[in-house]
Amino acid sequence: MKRLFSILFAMMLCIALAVPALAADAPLLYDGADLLTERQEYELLRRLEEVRDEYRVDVVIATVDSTGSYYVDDYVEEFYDQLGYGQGPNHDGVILLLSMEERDYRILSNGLAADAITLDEIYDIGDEIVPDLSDGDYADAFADFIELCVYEIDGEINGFPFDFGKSLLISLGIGLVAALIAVLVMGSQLRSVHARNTAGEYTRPGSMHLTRSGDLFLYRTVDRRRRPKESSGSSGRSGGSRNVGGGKF
Amino acid sequence: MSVLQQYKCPCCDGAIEFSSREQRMKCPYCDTEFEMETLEAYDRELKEESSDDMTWDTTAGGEWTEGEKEGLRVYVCQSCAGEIVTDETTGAASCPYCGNPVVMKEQFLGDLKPDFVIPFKLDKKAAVEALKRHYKGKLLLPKVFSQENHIQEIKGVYVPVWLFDTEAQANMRWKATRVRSWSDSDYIYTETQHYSVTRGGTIAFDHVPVDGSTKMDDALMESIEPFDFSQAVDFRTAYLSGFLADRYDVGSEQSVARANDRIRTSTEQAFASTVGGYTTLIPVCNHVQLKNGRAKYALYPVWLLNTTWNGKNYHFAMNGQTGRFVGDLPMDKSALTRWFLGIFGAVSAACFGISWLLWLL
Repeated sequence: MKRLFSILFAMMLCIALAVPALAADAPLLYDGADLLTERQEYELLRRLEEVRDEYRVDVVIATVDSTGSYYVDDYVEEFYDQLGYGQGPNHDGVILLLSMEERDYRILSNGLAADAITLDEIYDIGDEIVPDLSDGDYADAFADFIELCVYEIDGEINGFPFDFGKSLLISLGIGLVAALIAVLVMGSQLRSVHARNTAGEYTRPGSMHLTRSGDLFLYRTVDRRRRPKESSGSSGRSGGSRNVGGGKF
Repeated sequence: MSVLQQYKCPCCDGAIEFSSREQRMKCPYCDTEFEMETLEAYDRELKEESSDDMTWDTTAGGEWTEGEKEGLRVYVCQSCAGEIVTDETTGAASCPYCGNPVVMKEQFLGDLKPDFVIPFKLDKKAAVEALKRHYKGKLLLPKVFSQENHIQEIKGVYVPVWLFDTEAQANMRWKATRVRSWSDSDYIYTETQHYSVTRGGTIAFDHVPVDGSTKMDDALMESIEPFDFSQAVDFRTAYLSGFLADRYDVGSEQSVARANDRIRTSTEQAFASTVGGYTTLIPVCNHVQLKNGRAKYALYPVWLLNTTWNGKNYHFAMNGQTGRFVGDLPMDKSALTRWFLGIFGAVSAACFGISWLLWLL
């Protein structure tokens, strides 16, 4: 079944550019790296289809053994675009792609989902699921990914509910810090005896003379790190904005 | 022909062997590359560094003249064994430091004569007023402490201090970095430039005071600094009339360490302030050599106020020349709890209300 799909996917990638109609209705779950049981696949796929039907947004999960010669950022974009994921004219959707050989994960959000899941949310979601991915609990990680996406998408469409617990916790935290600072300031008013460790006020006026001054350049080091990708999708089939981010697991 | 010379790597301190055939050097330990001129200049900097020399001429104070000591009386505290000097017209009944009774010991003998004295400019009434101001605006001060205002005794005391004058020769070196970042479409680059920064020069200090009495708390005495030495006059016993004078029990030699600490810190700060434009600055070596370092012996005017509350002694001091008033105060723990809970509750409620309003909007 999986081998069949791999061949199908390769063929579709090649043909889809020429015949876009073939790319329609790609499955929302593609387990090319064979990480899930049949039962897990069935349950995840059912949930993904529920989400698509309720919000008109594709939430997609894909795993591959390797991205080959593709850089993983380019691969996930090709995967999403060439297989025709996304609902509506702006191709609203979000995809999580795992590349097992490189231990890379990437999340791409497109269209309406890009407004709901910005780069910050992508990294937040990544922080949530990476421990499970690292432990090999792929089904749990994917289930968490779906629900985190649903939370953000639902919030974007219907507005976020007032988070009573979070607001209370943050308010108590601010109150605690403010109270601590205030009583520390009040307490410090009672302490006026401090040793002086300097003699600056006894410097003879005009007595300082600089006779030696050198700034010798020794060497330089340059550190380079890949920047998180966030691009505006004004080209191709993507009408709205697009965010891509991720890391290692 | 190859000439070998060894240099110290500025990055890791490892040894780099320099071959005259090469034009560019690479440290075998950390792989950092250097220009030949850089290593030579860095090597010169290391060789120019000198060591510390913080020695002083500590002969201070003078000899009493004939008849000068005869009018002085010495009292000894029965509790802290402190010795207080007064003139014969000024009696002393209690110790200005601990408040316990003192007894007259003998005719004043020995000791060095102070070189200078700064006379009292502010009287006892000014000290009482300063104490009242000191209580004001302290929200955690127990009300009963300030209301009772039960200061047991206020004494004007000449505190013995050693004054240190010197010219400091400084040689400082820091490791400094300058960081800049830029990016292209794929990468963020961070470049760190490493520098060896040197500064050298001279700076002079006059009349750096060090408390010469063990009974007078050093931190309390330093807290009421500075004293204006331009108003100091040659010592005469007449200035003691109506006041007490503490006998020094810490010699000038023993006070040198404290003066050195303060002078070294200020010298380092002064030369570090001439270095700018770097992201980080880490001191590597800072050598200070003192020239013409000499000490003087002086008496500084201090109003001392003592009180006991809940079994604990509280000491206050006022600079008898400038009026600067210091002294740690007790804390009202129930007021601390009230303020903490009140602010915690009020700020938390306000934040929660604002967050709810923002959500409604």
